[in-house]
Amino acid sequence: MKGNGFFVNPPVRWSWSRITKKWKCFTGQYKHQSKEKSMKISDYLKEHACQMNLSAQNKEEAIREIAGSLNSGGEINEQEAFIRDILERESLGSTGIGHGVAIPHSRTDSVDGFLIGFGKSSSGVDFSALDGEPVHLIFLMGANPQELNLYLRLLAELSKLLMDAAFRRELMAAEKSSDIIALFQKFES
Amino acid sequence: MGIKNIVVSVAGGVVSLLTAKYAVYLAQQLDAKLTAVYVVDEKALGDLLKSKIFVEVEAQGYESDLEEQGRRFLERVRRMAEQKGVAFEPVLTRGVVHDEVVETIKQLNADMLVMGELKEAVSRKEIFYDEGERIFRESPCTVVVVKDYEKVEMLYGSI
Repeated sequence: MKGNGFFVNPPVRWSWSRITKKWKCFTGQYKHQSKEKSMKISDYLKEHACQMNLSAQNKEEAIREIAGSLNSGGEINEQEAFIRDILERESLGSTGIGHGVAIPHSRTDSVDGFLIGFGKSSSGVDFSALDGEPVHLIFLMGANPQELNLYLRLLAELSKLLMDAAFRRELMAAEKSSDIIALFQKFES
Repeated sequence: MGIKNIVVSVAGGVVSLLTAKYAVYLAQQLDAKLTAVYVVDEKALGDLLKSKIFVEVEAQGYESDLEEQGRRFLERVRRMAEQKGVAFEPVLTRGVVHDEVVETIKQLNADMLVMGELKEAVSRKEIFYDEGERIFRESPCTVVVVKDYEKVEMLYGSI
């Protein structure tokens, strides 16, 4: 029965996409991806996961708000566990890296692959950032521990993009979720 | 003479597993020794530390997780090779990925490198810096890039 975990030991909470994938594996319908996984943020960031006007006043509220939008897309298996993992990482040191940017992140069993959400706050959120300034652009990232290499490369890609002041300016000026994704597509090409 | 020493570059994950299966198939068919190399990407970790996204203790945690992941993956490839009667050696190393893979090829005087399909690149800059591309360009021996994974499964299953 090896490889047939769907019937032998089903986990308590599975997303529909995961159940479908397991079923396809079981029935032999699942095809391997023919390419290495994408290293572009724009391939992972979805419109529903972009909060263009965060109401959060502090770090935890901001993380919860963005996690909520990710959860609405069914991308998180267990929202509270996901938030707990993110906050646990924050307890090691703030991910507010300066220039009004924060990248709260964690490897977590609460997601199947890799996910990213975005939140923008016009008034700014106190993130205990390294430069002491409020944070306006927040990228919430999580990855399953099985996807460590992909996760590290995407984190590096995001950090590289955010070093560009023009990119940050355009993110701040963006009004719609679709603009955010379009900006990633522009700057990643 | 002949192809007696094959190196396969792996990074964990489904694509790497299929790449390893193809390498096992080739090694068995050619009666060659197979070496699988897994590199803990210290450069990526260092870059994330420098950009302050990682804190020291976090980077150390990731490093040991990557090493453990590599060890488990190499063990899996060893079992696959053994099942098919292929002589196998694992190499678990750390550093800059392309440097370490190329160095392993040189040290072993390998005849062939087997690697997974290259990712789709969107710019020349991306091609230049991609680790897979750099392995492909800088390898001193013949490189086989594995594609058509369904066929790989069939070939592997046939031996």
